[in-house]
Amino acid sequence: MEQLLEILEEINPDVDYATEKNLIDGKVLDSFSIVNLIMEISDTFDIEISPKWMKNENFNSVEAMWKMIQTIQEEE
Amino acid sequence: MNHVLDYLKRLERLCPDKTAVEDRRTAYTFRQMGELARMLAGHPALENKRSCAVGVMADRSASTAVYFLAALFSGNFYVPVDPQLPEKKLQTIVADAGIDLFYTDEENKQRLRDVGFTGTCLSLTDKPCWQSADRSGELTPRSPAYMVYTSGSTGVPKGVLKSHGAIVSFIEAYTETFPFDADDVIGNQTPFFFDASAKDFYLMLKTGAAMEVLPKELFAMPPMLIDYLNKKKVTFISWVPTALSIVAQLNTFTEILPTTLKRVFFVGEVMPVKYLNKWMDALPGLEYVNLYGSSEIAGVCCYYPVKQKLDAARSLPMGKPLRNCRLYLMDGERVITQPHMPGEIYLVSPALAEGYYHDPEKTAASFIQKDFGDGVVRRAFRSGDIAQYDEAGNLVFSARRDAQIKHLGNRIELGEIEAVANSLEQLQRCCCLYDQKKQKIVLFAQSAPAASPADAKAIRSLLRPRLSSYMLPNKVVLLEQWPLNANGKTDRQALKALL
Repeated sequence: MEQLLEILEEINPDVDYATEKNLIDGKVLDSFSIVNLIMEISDTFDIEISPKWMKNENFNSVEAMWKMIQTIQEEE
Repeated sequence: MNHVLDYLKRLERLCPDKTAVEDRRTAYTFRQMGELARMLAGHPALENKRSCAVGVMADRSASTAVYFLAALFSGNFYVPVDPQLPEKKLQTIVADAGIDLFYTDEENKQRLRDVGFTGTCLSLTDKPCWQSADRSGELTPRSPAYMVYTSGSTGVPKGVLKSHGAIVSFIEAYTETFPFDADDVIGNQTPFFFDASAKDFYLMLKTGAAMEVLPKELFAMPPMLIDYLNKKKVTFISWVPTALSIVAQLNTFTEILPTTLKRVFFVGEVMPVKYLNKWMDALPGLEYVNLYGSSEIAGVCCYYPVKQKLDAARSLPMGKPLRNCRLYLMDGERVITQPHMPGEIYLVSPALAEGYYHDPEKTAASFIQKDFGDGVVRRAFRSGDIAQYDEAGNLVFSARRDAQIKHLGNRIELGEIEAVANSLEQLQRCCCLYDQKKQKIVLFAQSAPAASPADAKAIRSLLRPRLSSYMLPNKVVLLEQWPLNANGKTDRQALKALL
């Protein structure tokens, strides 16, 4: 989780990720940030995020992203 | 056709109850759009104004289309403004254009007050206590229709003013070349404050096709975006390459395919061939067209239908002019007609802009009177773009005039280096600049998401066999964050600051 927060901080340091639950729906992260984010997550956790995971609910909060990463890791 | 409102009037007669423009929350039919626009046009503050600037806070919403038409019905021209614009820039535009009335949704009224705007703010939710107005009878082809501010190389925004006649000239030629009809649905991506969106807006008015304003946040989740296109039965998109590339990069098509889409156009920047090929692999049956234009001409002036996949190292041709444009490639005073000879693009067309607002000096420098060797003096726009013809007579972009450099005695097109770097699987995008002081070619680049992370040294070794040695970048800088301007294009000024 720590590593994920570091990635997010780097992409946009002005967001309070602990409380923000609307990163996508609230337009906090835009399409360009998402491309970077997916790239970073894939590298850091050595997973492949296939397009089926590309839904708002999987990226709206740190918890959701963390859950997604763990699920992909288990599947792989 | 004298002015663009005639297009709307035709549709009000033919298909008044057909959807004209729609966003996630609201939709307007042609009848509703026309009625609301005439209502807003009748505001007393505009009664004695003609051919003046009317501001529009151009949100991604259906109401923005109504505001544009309101300004036109009032006998004035609209100036679309990005609501997210920094305070200083917004103030500069308001002052330069002389705006004293803004059409804007409720939520932006306070923003305008905050930056010190003291004029009238009018929204669709305001209850009118005035008569509707339609002053289209006073319009001529020379009447100004809209003005978009471009950032300009010096950073000071300049307003490019276009007439009704220029737009009519473009949209007639465009729809002759590409037979759109009222059954088409346009999936609009380009923001309303970006000149490229005028192509979508006037295509809707000319053909009766519906304009679907796509929610911005969907571009962060490409599979949901494609799903939305399918639900809305979108048949046509004309997007900036960045938006199309993101869809291809994230392998969206392994999850979901567009089902109603027929045409894919790209405009505004050079479309990377490797991402276009991904689209063509997944969706071979669609019509792909590369468009070339400039803010100084209504719509676009050249088009290139991409019939088959190209080698990723090649850059996409800009093709041939639309029938309303003449294009001259000039090497000094000589008109180039043979292939592989670089020259600067000059444009002659009724679709040319009137010029830069309140700036006769800049206007005279770019819009010139010129004899192209046949004894006729024509008004021409000097584009600053360097291009050449290929064997088939298609124009191929080389570089910006200011991107042609002299390095160690060699004349180099920085665009050529970019084209080669763009073909690398490892890179998502790049921009090549010349550090005049240190005499160094610097390549800024961002790694592609799918590729294994590249380091600067590895990129240089990959470029070495592909470029002449004098063109090899002296320095490769990999950026994690790519600077983009409000239009989604590479922010060259921000990169220059990193030199």
